[in-house]
Amino acid sequence: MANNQMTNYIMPTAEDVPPIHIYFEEIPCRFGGCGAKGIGELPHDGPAPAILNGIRDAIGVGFNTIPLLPEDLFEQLSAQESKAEAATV
Amino acid sequence: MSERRTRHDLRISFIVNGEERRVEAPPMKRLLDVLREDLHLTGTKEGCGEGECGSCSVRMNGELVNSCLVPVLQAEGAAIETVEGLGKAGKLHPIQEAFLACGGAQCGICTPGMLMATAQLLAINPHPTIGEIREGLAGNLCRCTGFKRIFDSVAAAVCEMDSRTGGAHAG
Repeated sequence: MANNQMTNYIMPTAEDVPPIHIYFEEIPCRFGGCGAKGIGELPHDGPAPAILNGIRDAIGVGFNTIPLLPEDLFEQLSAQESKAEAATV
Repeated sequence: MSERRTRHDLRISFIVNGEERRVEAPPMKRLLDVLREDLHLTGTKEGCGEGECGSCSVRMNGELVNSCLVPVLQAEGAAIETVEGLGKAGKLHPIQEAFLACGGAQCGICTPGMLMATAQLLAINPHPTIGEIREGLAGNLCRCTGFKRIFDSVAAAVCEMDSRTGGAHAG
């Protein structure tokens, strides 16, 4: 049951699943209260802020909405430039 | 009921959960949609819509079918059983009780189909082995439970139905 993609991967059916046994391996997370850490369904909310933070780090302009398009970058950068020009005049 | 009749609609009559029902629908309308939209029996769920997942399973003339693959025309005169016919709140079917007791339902979208597949399995084979349970539910996908609790639920339902009918079940 090897799958190489997420779009049409094959799910295990009732006939395919192996016996499942659950064991607890406790490794406290130092960032969570009482060592707690969320597991299970992976959150999708990390990547977008990480990318926007990366952009802010690179060009010094912060964005807080997605999608972030090249046009948005251009607009913000142009606005910054014209502001800088106005300041120097 | 939900849509105005057009000249392409057909009058279809069939028996749903023991009751004679008539609908006027396009002949190729999916049985799934007729059940949900025309008859307001929304217990039957649409999962994939292409016969892969079994969420929309109903019993038709004693067979388990994917209602997303059955044009309503084919259901003319048929006896259909949906999850609504299995049990009602306050008076659940032993299979439903067992799923409840054993944690056989998690997110719930596969549950009506699982219940109907279990009903079908137990109608044919009242004392399935674990292998037969696996085979009987192989057409119904569940992403949450890993199936184990569903197997447990079916096994519990077998015991409960046995004790109710007083049937002797060795082992």
